[in-house]
Amino acid sequence: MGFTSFKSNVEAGDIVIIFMGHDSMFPLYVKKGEISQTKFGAIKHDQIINHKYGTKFTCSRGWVYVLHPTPELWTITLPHRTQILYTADISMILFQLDLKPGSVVCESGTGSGSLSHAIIRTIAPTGFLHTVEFHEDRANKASLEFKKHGLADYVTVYNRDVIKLGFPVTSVADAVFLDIPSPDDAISAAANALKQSGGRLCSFSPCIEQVQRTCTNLRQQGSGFKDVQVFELIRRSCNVKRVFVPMADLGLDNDEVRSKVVGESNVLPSVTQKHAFCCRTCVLPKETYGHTGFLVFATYQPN
Amino acid sequence: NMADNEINLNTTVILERNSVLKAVKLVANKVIVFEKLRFKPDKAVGCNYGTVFKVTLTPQRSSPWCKRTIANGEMEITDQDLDSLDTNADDAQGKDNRSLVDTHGKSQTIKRENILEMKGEGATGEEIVKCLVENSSSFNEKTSFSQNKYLKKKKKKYLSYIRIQRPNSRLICQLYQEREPAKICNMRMETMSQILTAANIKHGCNVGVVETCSGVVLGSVLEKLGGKGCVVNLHNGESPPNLFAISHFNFPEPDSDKSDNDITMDTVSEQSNGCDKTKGDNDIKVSGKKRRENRLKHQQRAWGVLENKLLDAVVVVCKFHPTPILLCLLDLQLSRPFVVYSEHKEPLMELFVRLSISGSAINLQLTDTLTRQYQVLPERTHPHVMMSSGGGYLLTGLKITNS
Ligand SMILES: C[S@@+](CC[C@H](N)C(=O)[O-])C[C@H]1O[C@@H](n2cnc3c(N)ncnc32)[C@H](O)[C@@H]1O
Repeated sequence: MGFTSFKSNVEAGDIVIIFMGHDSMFPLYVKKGEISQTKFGAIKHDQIINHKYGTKFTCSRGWVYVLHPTPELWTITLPHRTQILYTADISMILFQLDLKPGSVVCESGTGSGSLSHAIIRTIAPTGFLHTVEFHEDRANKASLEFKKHGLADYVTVYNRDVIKLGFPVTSVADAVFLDIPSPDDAISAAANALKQSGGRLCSFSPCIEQVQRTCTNLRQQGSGFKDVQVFELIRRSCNVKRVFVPMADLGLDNDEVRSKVVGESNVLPSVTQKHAFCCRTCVLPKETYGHTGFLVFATYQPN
Repeated sequence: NMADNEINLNTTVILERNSVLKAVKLVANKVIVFEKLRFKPDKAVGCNYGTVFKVTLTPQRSSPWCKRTIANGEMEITDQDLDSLDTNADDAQGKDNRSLVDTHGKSQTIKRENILEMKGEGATGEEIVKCLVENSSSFNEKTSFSQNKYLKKKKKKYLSYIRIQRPNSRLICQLYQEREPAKICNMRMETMSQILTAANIKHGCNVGVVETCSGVVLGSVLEKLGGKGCVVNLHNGESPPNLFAISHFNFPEPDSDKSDNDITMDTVSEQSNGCDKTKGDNDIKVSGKKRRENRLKHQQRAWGVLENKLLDAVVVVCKFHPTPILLCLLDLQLSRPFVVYSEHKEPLMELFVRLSISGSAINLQLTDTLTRQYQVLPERTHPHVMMSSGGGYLLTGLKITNS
């Protein structure tokens, strides 16, 4: 369902994303007979069922779109139980870990499952995700969520401490991902999980000290890890807007001023505007994510 | 299972020397020329991907008009750790260097000509490095740290280690990004990675692709489909575009014969949309008549996908103005994503406005991404001094009903 395959019509039991605006979306589990309240008024689930994904529905105070779930939409609408990873980092992680259908991945911790959903989408239906979370409640909630999203065949959540007990599988993973406070203590756990023929590792850390310790351990003689690289991504989203730049009143009627400003040929459009110069531009938000975390990548290739 | 990881003849591999990458098809007995090395690949066959080889140096011609035949280097497996040769890391450790005398290279009495001569006489890399050390007047005065660094640098240059890796979307992208960025519209890896997620590329989906990136985008999409689904590649003009990079992926070849039946985007505008080719499940090596039949089958399937509006995603990564292309292709299914890349912001701004006015798309986002790479070493952690100053823009959105 949903995250791993496409369907065109909404059915009872589906998870859908209700789109009310750019910054206003939420996930909805469709259930026969149920009614959900939104800021635009009530949504009757029966009204959505059997309709095409992407359809617009009118509520009493506005309209909403019912969208097909994707890991990317899930990431921006999911219930936060922890800090989560966002799409720019997630994309780089999937790509640098060489994930594709069939890959076997070990992850810790599961957290809110933001990354897990994206991993499963990319490795299904022939791959598998083993995800380890030591917080019991989070592990249970994640497990339940995967089930509700029809992903149970592609993932198992294990409630254990990855540093103390390692990953639950040995020598089977194509890739390991770590997002825990001390990834440097989980390097041998990662090596044990990875295939003997080699694989990729990624560790995400918000702080540079963690990164330094992780890199030191990865470079330890005999660790089996090579090609250590550290990246940081900053993704900016901009808004296309029409802007008006006011023109100073220089008294263009004066010949001398005019000849200086207008020149002979090549009249710039700005010069002929009397009051304001108008153009389309990209307006950057006043504030943006300047830092999410550092991504450490390495190749595992034991001799 | 282990055999999957073995290097075979007649497949493309990625060669790496001193962080330079090259994709090469291994052919029995055929000499490979790579980073001033010449060698036959035969010894690599049967080794695992990731193996490091030492290639003996090739005596070089001392002048262009000297027609001495060039000998090939020999390949030999080694367990050299390439990371330990990495000299890119700076060593500004805050060391006290007040007594260091700048010798402007005069401390080395061995000159370029001497080295060429040595190579001509068949000296090994080790011998050259040893000779350089013996003839450096300052080597013994260096701290052991800088001695080490000097050795690493010389070893890296004269001991010729190459690594053979299995090609994949990451390495092929990296290769183009570093060596021929113009051939992939100066798109970078992080952008490629976001194209794949924003378009929600997954097993079994139908993707419309317009690209002028030598096949890197097409290949990456195919890789992530995992052998099921359909890629409809639309191209501009009569002849199929340069898709050279596709061959690096070692996909099973359904239709390498590109002679006929190309449907181009020109003919397309009259009829809706056109397609060039698709690859999908059960792709196997075929030849001759079978191949043509297969090709026709693939094309019909692609047409079917387009005509029945079954596309799950549209990906446009090309040098052309994206607005007309995307508007033509926006026939995809509802609530499905499209991704458009452009090196320049302005065409995407125009498309952004067109789409928001048309009401046929929501969740429009125009983004760019800066990537900073870090050197992380004890007491020497900092961002790389040089970084890419920008790598194009992405416009992403979701198709919706426009009623
Ligand atoms: C920041 S969250 C991960 C978020 C996740 N990447 C996402 O995108 O939703 C980190 C998680 O790791 C778990 N964790 C921390 N240390 C752990 C350990 N040693 N073993 C297992 N889980 C651990 C925490 O309980 C927390 O839920």
